[in-house]
Amino acid sequence: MAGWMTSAVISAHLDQAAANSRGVCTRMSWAAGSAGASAGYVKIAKVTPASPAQRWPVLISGGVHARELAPPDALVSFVEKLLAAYAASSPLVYPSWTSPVDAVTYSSFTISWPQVQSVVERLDLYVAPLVNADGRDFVLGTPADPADKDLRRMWRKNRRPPPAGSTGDSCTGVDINRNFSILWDYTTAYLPAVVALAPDAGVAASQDPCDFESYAGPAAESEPETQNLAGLMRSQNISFYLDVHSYGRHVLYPWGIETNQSTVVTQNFANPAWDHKRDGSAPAATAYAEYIPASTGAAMDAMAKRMCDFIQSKAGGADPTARSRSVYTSRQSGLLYPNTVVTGSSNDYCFSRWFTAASAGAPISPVMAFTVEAGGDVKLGGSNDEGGFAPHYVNFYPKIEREIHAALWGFLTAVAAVNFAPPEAPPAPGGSTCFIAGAAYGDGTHPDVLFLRDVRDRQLGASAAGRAFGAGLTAVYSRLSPPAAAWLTRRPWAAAAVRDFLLHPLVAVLRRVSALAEGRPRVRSVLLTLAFIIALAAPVILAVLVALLARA
Amino acid sequence: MAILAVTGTPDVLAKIPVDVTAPGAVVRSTAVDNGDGTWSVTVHAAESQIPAMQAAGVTVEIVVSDADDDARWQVILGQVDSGPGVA
Repeated sequence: MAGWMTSAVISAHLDQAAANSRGVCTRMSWAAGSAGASAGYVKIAKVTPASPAQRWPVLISGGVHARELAPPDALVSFVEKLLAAYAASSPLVYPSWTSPVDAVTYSSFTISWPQVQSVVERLDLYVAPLVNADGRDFVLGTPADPADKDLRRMWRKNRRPPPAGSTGDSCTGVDINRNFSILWDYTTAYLPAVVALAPDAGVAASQDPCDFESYAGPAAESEPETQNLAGLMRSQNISFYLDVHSYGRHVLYPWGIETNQSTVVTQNFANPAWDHKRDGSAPAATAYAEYIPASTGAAMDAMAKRMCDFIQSKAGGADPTARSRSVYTSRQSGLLYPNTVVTGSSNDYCFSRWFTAASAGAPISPVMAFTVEAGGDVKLGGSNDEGGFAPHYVNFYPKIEREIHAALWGFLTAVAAVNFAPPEAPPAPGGSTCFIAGAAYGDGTHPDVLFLRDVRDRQLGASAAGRAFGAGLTAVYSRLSPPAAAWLTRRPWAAAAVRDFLLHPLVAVLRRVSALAEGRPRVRSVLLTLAFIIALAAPVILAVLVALLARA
Repeated sequence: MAILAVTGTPDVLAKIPVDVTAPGAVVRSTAVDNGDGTWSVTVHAAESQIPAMQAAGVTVEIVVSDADDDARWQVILGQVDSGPGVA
């Protein structure tokens, strides 16, 4: 029967998906949890003559928290739909869905064949639908003692046996999403006054094995489930990561460990000078905030908004009521709960690798990481009550599944549209976003905007001439672009004109130049510099010619 | 296990859950700033824990009662696919 899948059933689905895929999907296994369950993961990638030489490694995970029933099932069905569409060389059509509860219809939506193709042929996509297999089976199992039913239904951690001397059902398990190596030892990382508030506030983590929710484990990466996921991030140098949880209708991005700032590089998680001084996220805590490059923070916010837009426009569709029930918001994870930060999360750990790798002298390609909190907030009642952690499989899950899939399509198609970037260190303060292009396109993650950012931040920098030109361009651009972008945002006709008559031709020329010198970074940088200069000078030359002609 | 709307200032919300070893959940991803110095958050907890929460200073509204949540779960447990596997 169709329904919430145990780990064995999820595993069987992944086996079958790989077996039927003609080599597009590879089945991978990894270590089992303490109770012996493991669902493993799959890699989806097809190399064709049109595939880029180097592809973005992308990781999608779900089921980190045992009680959150929807994400694992939705990720399995995503894998199956993606592979079926690719095998048929066809668009992926999501039929409309009508709620059995109140007959509201959520429109059909389609993912085009080129989008399906781009995800399979331009990415190395890893999908781990069920990270915490032991925990999932515990939740879905039948309690020997009926009095334990709430223990199972609310179970979040893995099933690590309790430490010697600890008694009580809650003393089993570790919260995998507090066990990653990013400020795992929060007692050293933060001010004593902040640590004293944990786990309910200050830092949402615990060193008490009997904490029902947030025990961080006896050591960083002590758990096989954590080692599985972190090991995959390291072995494949994952550049784009999305972890699916429930619930609350958010798309979150780093940092979770602190509030963000983009001016002081030395305020960072790896700097021991700040041990016992980090002050968390309370409004009065202004002495320390975590460094994030401005352009990266803006890009992650834009990507999170793109996922929110996909959820509303595709999964919500045309019906106003349906759209109003598909509103997700983008937020920084460290600002989610009042006065409280989160340590040891998979999301922050994946993102942190970009910084630690560069510090160690072995830079990796840029990293972005996100968390989706899928499903409505029960306390808001009415149509927002979609069952919380355990939605009704017929009445609510299909809607949540569509939302998760829409978010994934928004995410993956944006990544697939951008050429692979080689290893580089995170930018220092002074980098800026593509304000004008973002305003003109109305979407900071439009492929043209991402391409322009890539040219400015990476491609130009491969030659001395390109670096000098890029620095000058950035200096002028960062001064002029915010007011220009604000002006364009208020005038859609002007934004359209800039997009169609200025940026489209510019991007077309730059793409052609970039492609001509693919594989020769220095030559490409010089050619792009010349192309930029000609493009910028063209209006002046044209004006002079017109003036001369008029005089003649 | 009931589902509750819990409201209070950040200082009093910092005391929730009262018993960190008891089954339940503070769903941090549902926190909402009410704009008047208080926040509201969804909490899963047994109704028997409500007096202790109120004593900590928060206001509590029952959104789904113990009994109703139990009835929901009886349906959910009838929707489990435990094999024998895929066709």
